[in-house]
Amino acid sequence: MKFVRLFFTVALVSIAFLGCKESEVTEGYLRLNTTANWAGTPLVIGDIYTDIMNRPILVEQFRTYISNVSVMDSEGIEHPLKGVEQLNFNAPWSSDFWLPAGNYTQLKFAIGVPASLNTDVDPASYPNDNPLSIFGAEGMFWTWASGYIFTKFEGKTAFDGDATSMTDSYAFHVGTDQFYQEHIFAIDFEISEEREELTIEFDADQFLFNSDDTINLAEDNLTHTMDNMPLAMRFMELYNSAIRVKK
Amino acid sequence: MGRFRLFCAFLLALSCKSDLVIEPPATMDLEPYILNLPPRFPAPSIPADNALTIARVELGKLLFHDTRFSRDNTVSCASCHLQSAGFADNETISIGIEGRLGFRNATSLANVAYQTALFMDGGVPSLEVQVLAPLDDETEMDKSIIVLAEELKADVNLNAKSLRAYGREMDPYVITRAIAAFERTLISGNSPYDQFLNGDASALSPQQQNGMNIFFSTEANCSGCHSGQDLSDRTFRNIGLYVHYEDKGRERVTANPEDNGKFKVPTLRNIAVTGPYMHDGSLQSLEEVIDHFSVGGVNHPLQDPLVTELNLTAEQKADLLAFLESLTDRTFLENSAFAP
Repeated sequence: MKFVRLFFTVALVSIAFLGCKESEVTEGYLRLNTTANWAGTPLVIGDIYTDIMNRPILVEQFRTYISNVSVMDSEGIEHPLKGVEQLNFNAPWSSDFWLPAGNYTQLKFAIGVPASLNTDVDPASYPNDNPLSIFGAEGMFWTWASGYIFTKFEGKTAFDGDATSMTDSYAFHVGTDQFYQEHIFAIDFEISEEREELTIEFDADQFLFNSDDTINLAEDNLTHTMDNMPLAMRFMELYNSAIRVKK
Repeated sequence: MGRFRLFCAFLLALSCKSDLVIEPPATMDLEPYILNLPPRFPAPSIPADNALTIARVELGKLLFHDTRFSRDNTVSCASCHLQSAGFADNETISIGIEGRLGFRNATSLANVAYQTALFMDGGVPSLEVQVLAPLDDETEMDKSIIVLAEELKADVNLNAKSLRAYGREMDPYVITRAIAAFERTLISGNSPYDQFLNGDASALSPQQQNGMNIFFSTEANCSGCHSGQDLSDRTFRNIGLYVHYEDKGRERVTANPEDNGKFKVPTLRNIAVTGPYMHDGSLQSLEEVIDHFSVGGVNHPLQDPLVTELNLTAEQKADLLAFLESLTDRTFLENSAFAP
């Protein structure tokens, strides 16, 4: 009887030990979301909002390239997630990435297309599913100057504030290597058996104003970057300040 | 059991058929196209993925003349790049769909194979990428290359040529490469001036030779910019055409104020048939062009130091004009290989 009890005890401990080993989590996945908001509510392309100067703002397009997306673990090892992706807020982008289990401290990405991929390139040479291809980059490539539009924010407004006749246009098309901007966000998260989610948020209402600057659309409403570099610089200053990451 | 085997064989047949649809059904025709280069002309640099073949050049020629490239099927590449005008046109500003005006005079495509920065402001790095620009421009063709590719793919004959030339169905890759391949064959180097350089002393009249001497003299120094095989050093220069340039020129693509009013030095090949002149077609004749340089421009702050007052005599101007006319290559303008 003693022998039988000992046998069962050893067997149970072994099973428990083996079981633990089998269930040890070695990797999990991170869902990376993107979203655009206007004054705290989700931005809907085609809807009308109001800017800080009480003008109606119809957002017709908001697209941007992000690149070199990576996360840093607590031991300082960088884990690349994505090379280049185009975010089109008609349908906000979201993707899952498998990562080694453990603690992480940082999300890093850049707005724009890296210089090595931005000039002297041929969009027709990429396969159709590539965000830099003719198909993927439709409307986001300057054919007359050979380079990608990093960020496109455009639509209609009414300079006089009359929302019943929104016939005035605004368009911010910003690119060229000098506007490639890296963002590093310190954020602690853990990859385990539970799915972790991070969201890159773009506060679109702050593309036009913050405490440092306000773009008055009646005066400054059009830049294709090279034709209006001062406005491109102001817009991107505001734009880069309007990006956050949340868990 | 027999029925089961039959069913399996049917499934297998279906899967084979499906594979056939995916595989390129035609073998590529890789017979090389040999460029007929004039004496003194080096071989142009050609991208590895677009080696010249007869099939590619023929396809490119068809596309170059195809009006489906424009939204309303009225404008082809050849509409603004006419062979009789040295593959430029004779409009002040080129006319796009629905009579829309662009903002620049059409440039000649003669010897464009040697160009490394396309357009007058040099914003585009290759002939392949250049194809995208007029399609995209609402004042030129205003047509999505994606829509165009679908239309051309539905053209059975053209799609077969695409498969033969590039081993793939008609798509933006084929369109851009085929047109670039054809454009690289537009070699011009048989003008009387070329024949003179090649040893035929009678190819230039005495007046044309006088004009040539003025052109290359240190006093006039036209060759300070118009040098080399194509009589262009392909640099970007402000020639003092205006005090204020509406068209910023190279500044448009560099955003550098130092590039204001700078345009690429144009080739002078076939220059007598490509008028009007300048980036905006504002000078109607070569006589006006010569007058502009004789006066020395309008003293723009960024005006090139080589553009200075020359005070040419009437005789010198006439000689220069005669020399410029000797740069017309009739064999190029009439070569049936370039015609539709």
